[in-house]
Amino acid sequence: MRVTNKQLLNVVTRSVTLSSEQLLKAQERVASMKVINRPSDDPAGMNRVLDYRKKIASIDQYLRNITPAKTRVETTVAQLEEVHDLLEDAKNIAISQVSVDDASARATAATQVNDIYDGIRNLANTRLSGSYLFSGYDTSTEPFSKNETTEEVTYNGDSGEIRTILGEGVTLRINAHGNETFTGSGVTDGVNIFDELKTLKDALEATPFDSSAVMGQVDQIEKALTQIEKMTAQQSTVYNRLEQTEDHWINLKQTFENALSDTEDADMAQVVVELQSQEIAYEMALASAARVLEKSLLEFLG
Amino acid sequence: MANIYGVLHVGQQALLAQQEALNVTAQNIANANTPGYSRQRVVMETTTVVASDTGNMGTGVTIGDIERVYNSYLNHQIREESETLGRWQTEKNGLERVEVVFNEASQYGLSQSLGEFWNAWQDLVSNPSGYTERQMLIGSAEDLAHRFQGAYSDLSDIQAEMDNYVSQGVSEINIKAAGIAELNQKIVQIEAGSGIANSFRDERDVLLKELSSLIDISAVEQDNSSLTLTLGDGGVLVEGAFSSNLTTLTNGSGYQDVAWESAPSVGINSSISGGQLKGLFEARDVAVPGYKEQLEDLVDTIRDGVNAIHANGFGLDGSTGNAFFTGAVEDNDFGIASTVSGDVNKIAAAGTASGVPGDNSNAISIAELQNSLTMSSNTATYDDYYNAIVSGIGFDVQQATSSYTQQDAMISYLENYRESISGVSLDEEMINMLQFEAAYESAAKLISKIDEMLQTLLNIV
Repeated sequence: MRVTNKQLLNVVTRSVTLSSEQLLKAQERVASMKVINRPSDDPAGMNRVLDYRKKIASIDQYLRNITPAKTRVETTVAQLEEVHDLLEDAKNIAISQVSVDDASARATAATQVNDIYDGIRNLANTRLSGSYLFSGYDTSTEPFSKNETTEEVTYNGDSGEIRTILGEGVTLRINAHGNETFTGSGVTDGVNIFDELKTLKDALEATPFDSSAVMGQVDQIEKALTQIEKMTAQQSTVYNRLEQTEDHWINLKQTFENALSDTEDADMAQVVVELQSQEIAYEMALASAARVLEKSLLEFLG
Repeated sequence: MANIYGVLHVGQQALLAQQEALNVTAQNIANANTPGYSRQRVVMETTTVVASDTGNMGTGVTIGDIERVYNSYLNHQIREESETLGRWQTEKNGLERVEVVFNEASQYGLSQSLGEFWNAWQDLVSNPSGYTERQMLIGSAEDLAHRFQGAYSDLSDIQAEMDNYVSQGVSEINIKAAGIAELNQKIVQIEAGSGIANSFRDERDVLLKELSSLIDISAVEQDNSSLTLTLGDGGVLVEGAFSSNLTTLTNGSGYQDVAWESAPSVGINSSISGGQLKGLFEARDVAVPGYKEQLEDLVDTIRDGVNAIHANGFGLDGSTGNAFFTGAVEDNDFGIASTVSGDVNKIAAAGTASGVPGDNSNAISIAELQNSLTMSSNTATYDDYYNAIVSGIGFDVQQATSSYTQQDAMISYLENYRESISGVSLDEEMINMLQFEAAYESAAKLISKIDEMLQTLLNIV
């Protein structure tokens, strides 16, 4: 077959072009440390990469949702525990006054019960980051206001359920309702804590003193304690759920991050070796070009 | 009977023939690097034999023909494959431009922006009355709208660029067609006599190949050596010394279609099946509009989905019935409604009027849109749909690239084969040169010997 100079030139040009193209690709991979630098490098792989990235971003968001939720529940539980302690104090005061008949001691006790009453109302009106914890949706309204003349407490909130997003289509209620917790509405065997404390105070201040009334209040306060304990348990369950979900997401995130890395990242050793071999291929193409183009008959003619 | 003048004549013939052969060799060497040059070869023939009583006597040599070494079928093949190469080249380039718009390999693409938008809604769920969260939501929403609109506009820009190339292509076609017509005239003139228009034919072939890479043509050589070129719709582009012009016609979408100058309101795009023009049409009129439509679909569905839920919700100031997004990407005005961006309290996080400010149920509904099957007749999420667009483009580019690479390799092979037949080998010419030079010297020697013999004869007298 006839071989002309141009043919040799064409072949040499083409091989230099092709090997420099490969060299460029290898360099790109080393520079970015990724094997997929554009969708056309691996369309199916790109799809998976986008999917994993989305999953990881979603998990990060769920974790971001859980953190403030946990804080809220922790705060709620702390308030409820203090309410519990105060109610225990009230119970003890009541018991101590049943068997003693000392008017001045009773007067002191009544004042103490009044303080406990106000203390519990303050705890019920706790705010976190500017929102009331026990008001339901009415987070800018104080849940329990007191009418000074009648000494009656009214609930100003509502029964809104505040939820947080834990996962795909999964939400969890994280608030405790003021009316359920403190006035017992809708709860079996529920008591209005404020009313019961007021009744106790009134009984202590009453003349003549009726110890059976005070005794009766001890039972009511027991019911109040149970009410608070139930609500505390409920919030603790919510907290556990939040923690478990958090752990679940943290573990799963690791799995997705590994999968993403496997698909997208270049193995450093591999790409560097590839780059080197492309460099060699390129040099060989150039060297063979030089050898081939130099020769001609002229060298041998006289 | 031998005739001394006859021998002289033979010598003279030989000298002239070798000289002419050297001329052709010189021509070949000079044009070794001329693109499209087909080497020429001298065909030497013995002249008519003369009968004499001692037998047949030769009368010397003559140049029978200066042959152009050329394979017309091979050229035809190269031409046809150039049409396909031109088409894949422009289509690949167009698609690669589109790929840049949707390149999600870095982490700062549309996909990220979309995710941040949904995340901002979830942050609002955690604190529905928070001013910061509302501001951040507007911020990420505006970023998202901006990116969607930007991507759409970029696609339109690519179409405009392709459009430009169409106009340029048409001008080039007209110029080359005119060039071929001119060459036709010259070739016909020369070959009407007994000449062979070798270099003009080479030039015409080069123009023809360039023309083929622009648009698909069928070429037929007539008996009088002129080339007739017709386009896909049967219209004649070049006939003899005359060429018809193509022109552009603005079509319904505002882009340029191709038409004959003689019928400027009739588009002939559908009859074009190869060449760069075909690739440009495929990219501009089929591929890019397809991606645009998918993007429109995605944006419209997000907009309508979010707006419907948002309008049913209540803002911090009790307002309801407000849209969140306005406009459409195809109208170049997609963005956030000014009522909401101007007053973040109007963002409807609450599900009931009385639930303000702690009610976050509407915000939850909007955040959960991300995971709902809202696209492709309710079988895919927004992210699934967008991811499919991106990998779809990647796949299209891959295909166009592999078609182009394959075509390129084939043409390379054919060109080399053509070179092998028609190309100049300097070594070969050099050897020929030695050959002709030796024959020339010998012929010259012969003539001087005859001269001596004649002198001898004259001295007898």
